[in-house]
Amino acid sequence: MNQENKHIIDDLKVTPIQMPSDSYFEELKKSILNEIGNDVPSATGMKKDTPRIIPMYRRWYVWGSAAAILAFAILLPWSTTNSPKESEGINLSSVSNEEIYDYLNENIEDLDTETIAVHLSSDAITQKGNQEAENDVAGTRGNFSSKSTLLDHVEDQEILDYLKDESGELDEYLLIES
Amino acid sequence: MSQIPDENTIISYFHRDDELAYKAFTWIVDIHSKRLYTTIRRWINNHEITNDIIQEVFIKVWNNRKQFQGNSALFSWIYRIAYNETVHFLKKENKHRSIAIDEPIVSFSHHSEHYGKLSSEEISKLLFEAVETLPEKQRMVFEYKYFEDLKYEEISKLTGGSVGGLKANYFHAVGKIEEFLKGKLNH
Repeated sequence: MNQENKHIIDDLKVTPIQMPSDSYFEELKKSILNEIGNDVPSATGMKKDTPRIIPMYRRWYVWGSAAAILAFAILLPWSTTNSPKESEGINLSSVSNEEIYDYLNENIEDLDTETIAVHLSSDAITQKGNQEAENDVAGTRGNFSSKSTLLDHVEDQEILDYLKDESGELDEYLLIES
Repeated sequence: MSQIPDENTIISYFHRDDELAYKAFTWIVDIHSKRLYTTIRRWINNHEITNDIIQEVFIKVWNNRKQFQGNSALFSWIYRIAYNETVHFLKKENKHRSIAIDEPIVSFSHHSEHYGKLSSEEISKLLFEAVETLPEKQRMVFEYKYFEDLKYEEISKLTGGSVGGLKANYFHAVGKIEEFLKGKLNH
């Protein structure tokens, strides 16, 4: 090549692209096909009715259930250690939804319904027994829920049944996600 | 892998409303993913981001398949989507400067008086800017001829167009890039 026909880009050397392995492209293809999976037409022209997995955090009822469980988790130990007069100061309306969601975001993995149920069936109920004894002395029928204005009308068995049911439902969602 | 039919057959399947459209799409991914990867990787020069963009591009190819009229080669259409997606990404993320570059796209083959004391990174950036100024067809031809050293016949299969037309495009592209670089280098 003579000097006149030489371009300044001829003084440059192209760096070859480092190609990933074939397995990368296989995975890439799987990932792409998986992504469009819900939009695949069937032989009849209809879209395949494949189940769509909705991330767990988008389910409002999961959040609702978790919030309810969280409320139990917060109120139960408190209600067993504070006097009825002090309990009147607790008001969940003073906690914004955002704060609850933030807390759940950070602690959702630590929030184990089974642990709460265990807690209910041991500590709380033991304390309930103690309180009942004390209340019997005072001539009144007491139970642990009597110290929480939120739980006044809820029977212990109903709470345990609720947690049992919720635990089953949450497990079902966890199975879908995995 | 089953025998992949020619592009016209693939496109005819691609436009259908049944499972053959999906089959055609899998062929398109098989045929074009590697070429598309090198193309985007050269623009972005970062594997992780290339990986994200290429997936986005193929999903757009699928979602917009009815819009492909067949007026150009299929790869040209995919290339355009990829280019727009990359430009969109760079604008949105404003990552022109913050992307971790794996390696400059060019280096000096020998000492050149044209470039003074420019580093490989600096000349790579200038060259990229120069390529960005080219019209689409010239940009494609330049990229596949200069960077990937494809034969005109191969480029013709990818992008459509005659070999003579591609040569003319390359000639014009080199001239414009030369002019751009000289302007930047104060020649």
